[in-house]
Amino acid sequence: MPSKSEQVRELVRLAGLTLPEERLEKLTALFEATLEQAEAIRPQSTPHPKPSGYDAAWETRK
Amino acid sequence: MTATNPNPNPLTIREALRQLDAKELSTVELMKDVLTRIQATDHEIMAWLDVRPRYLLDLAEAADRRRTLPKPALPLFGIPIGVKDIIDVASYQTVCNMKAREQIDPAPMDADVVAKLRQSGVLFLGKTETQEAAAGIFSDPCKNPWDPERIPGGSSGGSAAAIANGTCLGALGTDTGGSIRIPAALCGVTGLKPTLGRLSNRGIHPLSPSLDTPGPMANTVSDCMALYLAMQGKYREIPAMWERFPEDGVNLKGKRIGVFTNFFTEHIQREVDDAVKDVAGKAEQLGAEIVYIEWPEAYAARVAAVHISRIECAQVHRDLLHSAPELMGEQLRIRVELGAILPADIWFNALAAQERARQSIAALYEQHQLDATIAPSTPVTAPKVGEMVITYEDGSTEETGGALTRFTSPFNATGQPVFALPAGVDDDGLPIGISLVGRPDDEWHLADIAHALEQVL
Repeated sequence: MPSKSEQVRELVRLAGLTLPEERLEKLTALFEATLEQAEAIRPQSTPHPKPSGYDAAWETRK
Repeated sequence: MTATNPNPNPLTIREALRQLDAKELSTVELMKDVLTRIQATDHEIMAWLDVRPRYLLDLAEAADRRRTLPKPALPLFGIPIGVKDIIDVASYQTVCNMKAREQIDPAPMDADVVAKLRQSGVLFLGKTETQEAAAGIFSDPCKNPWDPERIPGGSSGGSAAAIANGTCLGALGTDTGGSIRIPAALCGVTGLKPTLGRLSNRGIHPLSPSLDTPGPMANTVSDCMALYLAMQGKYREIPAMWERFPEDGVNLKGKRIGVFTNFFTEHIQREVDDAVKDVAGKAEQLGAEIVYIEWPEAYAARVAAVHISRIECAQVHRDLLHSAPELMGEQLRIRVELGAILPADIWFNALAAQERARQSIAALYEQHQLDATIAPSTPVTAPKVGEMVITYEDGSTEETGGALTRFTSPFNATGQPVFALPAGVDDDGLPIGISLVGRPDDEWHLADIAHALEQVL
């Protein structure tokens, strides 16, 4: 498993960007924080939402 | 107490229309008044861009001549309005506070909401300052008129500062993560983030196209609703609308209002938390039933909005990042660089979280039969210029941009309409803002509640 720093370098390359070392370090820190946030909200499973549920719930008191 | 209200008795749109109609005030007098205030104060506040005094006085004179003819069927005739400088106004540049756009040609036509507003008879005073590309909360170089050592918030900071300073009667803003509600809170004015998708974004420079919405800012709820109607082209409804909002005899009998706990009470300035409780108490005195509620998905809603915004913003500015990144400020550039490298997994995770947030807030409103909910707009009052980190009373810290959007961005994910209302001042005399959150497409019901609260706050 590549380190976060290596992942960021590869993603930056794939995005067609060339960044100096200090920007890569800053970006790595932000990238790690973003992954942590994403992990915190990741669902245990991914059920299909009911398409009508949202509107139907709002309609009950309008 | 260091801050002072720069305009304690603001002229509302409603009152200006009455005075104009009664010939107690002319359009030229009104225009001269706001232009004089701009000339006297804007060298310090820097809310305005491209104000053309001679052209505006010509417009005002023409408006007064028009008044001598049979009554014009223009419901906001002669009202001076500002427009956030990411929204196109024909013949004005839309610079978006971006170096890369400093030499951009003037917009050839109005944005949809500007074109509709223009037909209501308003006079556009000029463009108002924003954060670079509307991507942030500082709106530099604009300052807060309550205390010029503090920020006005953003990204519609110029619009909020201009209204608070008495240099216009209303203004247009846009909101993607809180950009109407945050500056409204920090500058002590009123703003409406409409239901997502309700108003056209055509002619507005995008930040995050699936979350962006324009909205009105003004001194009162009813003024906001007049602008909101005009932005939709519903001119005929405006004259009758004023009667819907009486100044006396308001009540909230039969309304159920939720007050958020947990996520919305953590890491917050004491006076702001007290203000939310105070507003809830006043709502109860007006007859509302108050219900304290927890929304467990609030954090997920916030993260979803932030991640969606990051990725979409990177797409919007992708070409500039590749061709001339040196023309981007550091805050915008790092945001775009990050968004450009985030994997698709983050995007799909954010969309799933957004859907869960929408389902959960709808279920919460249904379970408690809520008409609206109350939350603080921002956890703190206006930070000082250059204050990049907020320190809370418990010693914890938070990056300023993250702090100021923490309570607003969840409702960008859900798409609900939100009124931002002033709710007193803190120990330094700085304005506190609260948010009143409604059901989708239920702006009128929300406005009724917001107006009732406005009378007692």
